[in-house]
Amino acid sequence: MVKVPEPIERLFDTVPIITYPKEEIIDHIDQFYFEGENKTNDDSFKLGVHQVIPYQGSDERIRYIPNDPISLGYALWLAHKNNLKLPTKDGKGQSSNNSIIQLSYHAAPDQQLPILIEDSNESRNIISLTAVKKSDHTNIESKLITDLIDSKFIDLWILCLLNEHPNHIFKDEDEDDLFHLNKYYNSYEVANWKAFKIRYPNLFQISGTSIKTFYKSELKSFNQNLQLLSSNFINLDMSLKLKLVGYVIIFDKYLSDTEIGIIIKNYPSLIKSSYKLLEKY
Amino acid sequence: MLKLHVWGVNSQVSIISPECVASSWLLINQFNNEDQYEIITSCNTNLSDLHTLPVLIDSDTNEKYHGYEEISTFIDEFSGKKNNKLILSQSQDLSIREKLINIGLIHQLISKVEYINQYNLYINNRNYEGYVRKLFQNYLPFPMMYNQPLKFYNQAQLQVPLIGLNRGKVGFFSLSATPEVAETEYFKGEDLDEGGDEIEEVETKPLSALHERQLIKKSKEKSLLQESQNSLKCMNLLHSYLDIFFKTYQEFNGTEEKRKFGYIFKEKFSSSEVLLYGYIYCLTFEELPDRFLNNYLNHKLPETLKFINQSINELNKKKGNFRPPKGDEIPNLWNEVKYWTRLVEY
Repeated sequence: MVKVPEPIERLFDTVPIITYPKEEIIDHIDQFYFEGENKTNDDSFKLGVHQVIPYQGSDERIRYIPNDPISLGYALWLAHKNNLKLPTKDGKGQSSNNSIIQLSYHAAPDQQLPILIEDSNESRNIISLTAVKKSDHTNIESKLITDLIDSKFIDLWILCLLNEHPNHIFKDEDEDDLFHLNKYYNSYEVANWKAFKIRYPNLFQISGTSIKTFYKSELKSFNQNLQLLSSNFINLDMSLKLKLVGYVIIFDKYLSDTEIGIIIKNYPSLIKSSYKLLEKY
Repeated sequence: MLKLHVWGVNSQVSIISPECVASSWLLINQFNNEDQYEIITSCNTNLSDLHTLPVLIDSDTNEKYHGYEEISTFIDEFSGKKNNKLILSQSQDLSIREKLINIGLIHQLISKVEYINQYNLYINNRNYEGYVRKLFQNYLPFPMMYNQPLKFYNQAQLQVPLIGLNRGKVGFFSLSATPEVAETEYFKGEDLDEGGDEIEEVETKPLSALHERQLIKKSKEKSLLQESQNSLKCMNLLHSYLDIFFKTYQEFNGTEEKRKFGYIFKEKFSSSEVLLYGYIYCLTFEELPDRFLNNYLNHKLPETLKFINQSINELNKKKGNFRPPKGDEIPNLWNEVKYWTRLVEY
């Protein structure tokens, strides 16, 4: 190999006049730990969500829950499956290995939250919303309803974000500049969630009214579906119930000033049983 | 008066939209009186606020109903209490549980089987080049028929991977795939094959005219191979979606016999079944050059296909009240300009 002549090497070595100090890697993110037995093994999971908010139930206990419906559904399901309770301590104190963390959606490989980060001894496994394995329902009825909720309700949620811009869902304003995103940028990203833009390309043509019309028609069908689901609520599978509870609670509590919030008010018994179920965890 | 706008020409509803086929069956079989409704084979997507057909316009209230789900609910309410021999009333004949399942089934069809239909029509080269692309010259006047099939083709390219067909690379990142250009003559070898058989000459440049011809030949073979691979996957998927219907049938009719199929609820068609038959009708349409799905169903599920074909014939029996578009409804250039300049609003 040709050796670089010494004067030149010296010259180039002096070119970076300032050497920047090594960036500290943020190794601490607030984690909201699920309550449960502290298992000795190292396996754990973290559910990455947009934002975690305190929720005070009728039993005076403060729980920390994700503030979007999909994540809340998953948090409840994870708690149910692993025999855990929802986090009650504000980022301090570890009561199990498993936690909920707040992330920007840029952290997810496909820009969609929630993601599930599974850590075991050696490997880390990140499961995204789109790749969550469809639970194998042996019961055909549960499968059909799960698919229905998974696509119709998520579509409605996306449409609500696109149409009504409820602005308290994402971390912004008081956060780092990097995460400070205005709602129009958010709209741009949100439209890609669950391949929404690919599935409904016609909504994004130049004339802008179609997305409103679609929102209206989806609201109508949401109303019909909710009617059926609420009168059939007791017969549903646990996984389905928890999924539905996630939507009902977020729609009722945090989107009450949107069109969805108005519709959901018509189902007081469903709302009541949803809160009751949430407070079991 | 109810006006249903669909894809099609004269009194033939087009196979490019199973939802149109099923909606018109519903309308024809739900109303005995022909002056209560008309089906217009207008092919004009501007008529719909969502820019998709079918759209049902109630000319008394000026309300629009988009898509099969909305249309079927509306027709059901509109036609009121009537004892129809063929079609179940969703609101009266079904229990809550059955209604939920009915909606779930419709949803399976619209969100999954739809993409199989797109695969069959656009991604399958023989069907697209040999039949579907030519259809549009019957539907749209000059010069509108050039752009539309290409638009649908590109749409299909993006949507078909959603159920795991085409290209194989389905995951987080493939959803932002670059749109492909429809094949003309020169088809450059795609970078990677699904199974990981990396092509050795990813960036090979032709050295001579002969070499170029060979490269083209090779890439043609490769694309053929991939197409047959995808077709197999497609059949498999169709089978798994049909399986959902079989299981529902078993659930409600208590048979242990596998692959037996008939009316799911109470000896009449529910709206989900009508849509299913719409899809099967389109997937196995006899004028398609490549009827691989028909052959597959015929081979694997002959009894089922027989029942479905009988049902299709029954639904098809009655002649509907069709008319071609007129005036502002015609999707020609002049109306398009008027629409964009807001001289006409639908």
